[in-house]
Amino acid sequence: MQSLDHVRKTLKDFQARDDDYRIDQWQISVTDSETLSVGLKDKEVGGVYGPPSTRRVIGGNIYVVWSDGKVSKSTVNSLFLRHFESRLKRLRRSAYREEFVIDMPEDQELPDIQIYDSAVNDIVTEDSRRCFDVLGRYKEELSAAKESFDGSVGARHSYLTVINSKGLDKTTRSTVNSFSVGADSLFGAGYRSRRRLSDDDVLSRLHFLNEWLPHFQNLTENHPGSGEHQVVLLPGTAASFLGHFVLGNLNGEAVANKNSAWSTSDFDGAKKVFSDDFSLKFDPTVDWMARSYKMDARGLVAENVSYIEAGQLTRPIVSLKAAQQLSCVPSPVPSSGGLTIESGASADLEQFIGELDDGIVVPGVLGMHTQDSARGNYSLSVPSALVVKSGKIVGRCKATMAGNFFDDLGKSVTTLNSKLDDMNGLVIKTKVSFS
Amino acid sequence: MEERQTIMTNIHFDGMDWLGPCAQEFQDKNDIYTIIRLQYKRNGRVIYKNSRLDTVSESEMEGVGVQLFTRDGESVIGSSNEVTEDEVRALLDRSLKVLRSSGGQIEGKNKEIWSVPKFNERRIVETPFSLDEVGFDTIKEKLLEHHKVMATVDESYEGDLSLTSFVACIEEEWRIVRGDGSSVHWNVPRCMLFDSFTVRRGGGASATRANYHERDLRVLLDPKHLEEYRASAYRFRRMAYDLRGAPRIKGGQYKIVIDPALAKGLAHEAFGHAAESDAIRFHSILGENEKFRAGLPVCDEKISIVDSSVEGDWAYAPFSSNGLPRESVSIIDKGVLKASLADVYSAREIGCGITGASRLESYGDVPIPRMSNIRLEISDPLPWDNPNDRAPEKLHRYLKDRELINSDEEVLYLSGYRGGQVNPKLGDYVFNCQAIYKFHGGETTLHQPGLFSGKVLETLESIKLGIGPNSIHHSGTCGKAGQGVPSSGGGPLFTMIDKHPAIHIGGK
Repeated sequence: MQSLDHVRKTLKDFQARDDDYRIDQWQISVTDSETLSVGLKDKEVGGVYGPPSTRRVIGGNIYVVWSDGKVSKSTVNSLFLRHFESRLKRLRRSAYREEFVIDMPEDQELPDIQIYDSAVNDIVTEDSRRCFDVLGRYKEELSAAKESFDGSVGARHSYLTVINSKGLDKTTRSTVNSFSVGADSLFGAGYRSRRRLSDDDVLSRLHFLNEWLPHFQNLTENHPGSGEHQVVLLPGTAASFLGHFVLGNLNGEAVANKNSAWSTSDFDGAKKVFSDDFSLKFDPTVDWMARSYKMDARGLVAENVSYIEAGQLTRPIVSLKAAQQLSCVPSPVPSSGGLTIESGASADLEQFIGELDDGIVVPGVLGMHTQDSARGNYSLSVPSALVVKSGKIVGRCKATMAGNFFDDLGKSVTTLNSKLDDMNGLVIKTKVSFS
Repeated sequence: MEERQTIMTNIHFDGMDWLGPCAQEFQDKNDIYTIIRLQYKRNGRVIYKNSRLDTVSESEMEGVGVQLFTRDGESVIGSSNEVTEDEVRALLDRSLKVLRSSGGQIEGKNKEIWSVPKFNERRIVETPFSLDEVGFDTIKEKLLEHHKVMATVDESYEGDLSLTSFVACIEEEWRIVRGDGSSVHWNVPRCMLFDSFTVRRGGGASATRANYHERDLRVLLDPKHLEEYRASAYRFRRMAYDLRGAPRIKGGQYKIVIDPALAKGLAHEAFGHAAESDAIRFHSILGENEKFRAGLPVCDEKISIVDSSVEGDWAYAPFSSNGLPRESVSIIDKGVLKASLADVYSAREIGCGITGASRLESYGDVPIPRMSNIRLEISDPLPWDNPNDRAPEKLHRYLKDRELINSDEEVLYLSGYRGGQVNPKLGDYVFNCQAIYKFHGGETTLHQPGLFSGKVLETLESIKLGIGPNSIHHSGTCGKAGQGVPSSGGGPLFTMIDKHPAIHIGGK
């Protein structure tokens, strides 16, 4: 791990200066990580487009409040840390009057959450064969992929250190082990965990892929016709919708700057924006989950939060700056794949499909990043929609779905559990047209 | 410890006499083909939001990536963000250790790099208006001036405007050496001015944006270019206001006209990705039996699609990430599929020549074939008098006067690019616009944006004509395999596309 003793000393020295470079407050976060990964492309392990890769990165952020009240901020990395004093002085030239100077966090006890597995660390530092072993299992298990499959396996261990002028000085250590695979450019699966992936973590998802791939290989014209239909969003697609339309509008700085669909008064008044039975939560305190952490790069400890409760806005996603803009406390920053959806109805994915008369299953969409998140409107291409008729998937066809996601969540939705992912899928009712 | 002069000069990787010999010695000693890639990037940014200074920041990074190949074609990539001689040598050793410990488990072998000729060149773009020359105080002053101009509207603009204006000034530099004695060294300076407009009225919001780029801070300082940009930005600002009450288009098939930013999107999403050599064998509609379908007639002979690196452009990339010159590529030449964007690793196996198409986002990434500046070219375009005047009403009259449309048909003019995506294997692509103008019955009406989706080959067949000169500096970021690189391109001022069952505009 990179030593930061010289950083601590230099920053303290700058606090004692009596010239333009005197610093009043400061905070610096540094992540020192090492990663090993191996790829699979066109069924070949470790080829030129997916070679074994070893990477060491030191990166982070620095925030400085000078004695005249101006602020400077920058990213830090190995270059910055090696020439720390000269880079700190250079920061002065980009100092500016910030209306919302952050309130740096105090030192807190870190929660006891399991996020480091020495077995993953060993993969990175000593034994890359584990990555090759997992890739080898793909090849054995993916018999249903007719043409080609790609994938990767990776292991990472990191140290995160956050120190500031209020006395916060904490380091946490974490690991991530991950895999992903995509078959015939049509469908994929993956998983990430803080601990070493078990055979079941990988095999259960490969089996799911194997069972579902034949559905994608049959083109069908036997679709229900354009109109309003039940649409099953698989977990990755549900995460994509929530990330774009909901998390984007929950962003605290967007709310403060009036770039969000929702205003500060909407949050103050706990405005009802979705159905009574819809809640959206983020819990980073669960042992071994990839989303879990003890402390984030802002120096804030993990906490379980609810952003939407019973359809009502409860709090935005608040950065340290937005906390000043909105006069509230900062909050955890969720990833779209780590959200928990609660709804009035939940079901097993395959059981739900088995009971569906007509509908489509959406494994992925094209064009999500092009949609205007402030309005909630979407018009998206589904190149490989799976058609459901009388409880059975009858094949694949191309579809377009168009609607408004805020309206969709304004009606009761069903959440779906499956072996594919820890995160839920979602069922909405929206307009679908078929080519 | 060596302190390079990163403030007084914008060339970071000059000197470093040890670098070339380091690669050559390692290659000779271990019989391992050795590539060392150095990247430096400095980013200065100023942001105003609703007349408040939101951010001033300056950051820089550097890093080294190494790629090693055995004689049998097994390879490994290693990287570190410490660029010192000791660390580079240690990185080479660490990476070799990973390669050797793979113990024969690497299946994908590629020996092509061993046959590549030696190449040396240094190409530096001068930037008289660099971040160091201009300084943050001037940038703040000029950007605030611009921000206030964009924020000033008259009473015909109904709604509450939230305006963000920012300038990003990026100085990027690459130096790539190979163990055969090759060395390329170049810089990619670029600056962007960006405005985003969010208008709230009646409980909802709509958003549009505008941007343009230059190689340096003349983006803010050159009054002539700034005025041209503002003419375009005013249109998108007006659009954000008018979109609040605008209806959604009825989804379906239409005759369509697109602007040059969307022509870039079309060329990029519909054809560019499908032409990248790493996709051709199994993942592209432009491949068959694992070969590029060169010689296939795909559209009218007046249409070509060209990709090349343009100096001063947002996506400037004069050399590949393997240290080879990047060539201009006619992907489609006068209606016929001609060449792939091919890197050294996949060119031969798909039956194409190497065009130096590989790029990286970051020093530690895997080099893959990417586009640079890609544009749609249509020969003998119809004339258009003033490229700065592209009012939809004027376009409507033009099309009617030349009998290119009639009053009975509904024609859609799509304006402003919002990004796109493609599945090259299925030949499905999408892109989105910022607004749609419907031409029907003599009236021009504004509508909400809708997704343009289509099939690659059918869309090519449907391109009917171009109007006006080419406009080719419409910029963005291209994402592929987890790497984002600058992208750019364009086409004629207006491109008309016939109605086709495989081309769909999404709507209500």
